[in-house]
Amino acid sequence: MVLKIIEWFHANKKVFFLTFELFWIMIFLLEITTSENSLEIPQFIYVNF
Amino acid sequence: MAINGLLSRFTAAVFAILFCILILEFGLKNIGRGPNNTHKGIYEAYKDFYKLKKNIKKKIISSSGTYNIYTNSFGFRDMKPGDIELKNKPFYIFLGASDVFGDGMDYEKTFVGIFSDYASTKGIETLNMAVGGQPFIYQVMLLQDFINKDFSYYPKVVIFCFNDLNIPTFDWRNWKSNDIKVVNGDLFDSKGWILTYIKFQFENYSGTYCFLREKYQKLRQKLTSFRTSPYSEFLDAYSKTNRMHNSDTIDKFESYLKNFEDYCMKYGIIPVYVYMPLADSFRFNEILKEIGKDPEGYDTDYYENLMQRYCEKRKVQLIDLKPLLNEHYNEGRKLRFDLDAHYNIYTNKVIGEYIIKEIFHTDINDK
Repeated sequence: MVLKIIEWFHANKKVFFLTFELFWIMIFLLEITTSENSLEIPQFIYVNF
Repeated sequence: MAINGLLSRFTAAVFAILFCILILEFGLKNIGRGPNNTHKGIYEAYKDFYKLKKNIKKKIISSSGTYNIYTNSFGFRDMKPGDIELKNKPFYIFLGASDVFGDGMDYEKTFVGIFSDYASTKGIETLNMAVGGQPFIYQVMLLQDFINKDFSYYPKVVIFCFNDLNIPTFDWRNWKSNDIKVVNGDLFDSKGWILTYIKFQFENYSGTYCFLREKYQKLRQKLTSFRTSPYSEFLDAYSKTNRMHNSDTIDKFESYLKNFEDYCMKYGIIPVYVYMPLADSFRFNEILKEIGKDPEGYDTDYYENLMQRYCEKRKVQLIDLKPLLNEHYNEGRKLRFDLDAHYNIYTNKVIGEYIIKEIFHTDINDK
C-alpha cells in the first residue's frame, strides 16, 4: 500500500509541486496587491445577516 | 487510461491544495490572523430578541484585540462571574448598546468599569445592563424585568446612554429583521439562517477562509468600481431627511423619554442621560468626500442639540460627551480602534473619568 502511494506520488510529483508553487504565488500576489488599508465604515450590527 | 491519468493528476493537485491550505491555516494562526471569533456563544433568547447569558466566561479574539467577557448571575457584563450583593447597598445602572457594553476591551478598561471601580470606593455597586445591538425597548424591558423581580430595592440612578445610531431607532424592536434566531449563542436573521450559519462557522474556524474572503473583497474593490457598501444606518442617521427631523417623530421620542422618566420617578430612581457621539462623526465630512456625497444633506450636531433641548426643558441631567471628545479629536487623538468603530481604551478612560466627574463632582485625577 505504502509502496503504491509512493509510486503514485512519484508519478504525479510534477503536478503536485506545480500546484503547490502556483498556490503560494497566488497567495503572495494577493497579499502584495491588497495589503493597503481601506476606508473603514462603522459597524455596530451584531446579528449575522 | 487517459482518463485515469487525468484523474490521478487531478487528485495530486487537490492533495497539493489541501496541503497548502493546512500550511496557510497554521501560518495565519501563528501571525495572529486566525479565524474570526467575535461574540459567538454569549447570547440567549429573550422574549422575541436576545440578551447575555448568565455567568459566562468568554475570551474574544476580534479585530480590536483579545479580551475577556464575564457576566454576573444577573446576566450583565461584569469584572467576574458570580453573584452581586445589592441588598442595603446603593447601586447605579448603565443602559445602552455596544459602546456601553465595552466592545473590544476587558471590563476594567471600559468606561463603565472605570466608573464602577470608583463608585465601589464610595460603597456604590454598578450594574452594566448594556447589550451590543440591543434597541432601547429591550434595554428598558431588561431594567423593568430586573426591578419587577421580588426585589425590595431599586437603583438609585439609571444612566441611560444614547448614541447617533440608537436615537433614530428608539422605537424599533429590531435592527433590520423582524425575527431574530439565537443558535448556539449566535444571532441570526431567522429567514435563511442556515446558509449564514454555515458561512459563520467557516468564519469562526478557518483563517484561510477569512484571508481569502478579505483578499477577494479588496481585489474586487481595486479592480472594479465596487466599493464596500457604506453602512447605510450610519449615513442615514445624520441625513437631514432622517425621520428624526420630523416633528411627529421628535414628539414620539420625547414622549418615550418622558415615560421612562415617569417610570423612574415611580421607584424613586434618578435618570441621567449621556449623549455619546460616534467616533466617526468627527471625521464625517472626510467619509462623505470619500464616497462622493454632499455634506449639505447631513448634520452631525442634530442629536446633541435634540438631547440638550429636551433635557433643558425637562430639567434632567445630560452628560454631553461631544465637546469633550471633540477636544481630544482635535488634539489628534485616535478615538476608535483601527478595525472597529467602537471607542478605544484611551477614549473609554476619558469618558469614564468625565462621567465620574459629572456624577460625583470629583476629578479622580486631582487625587
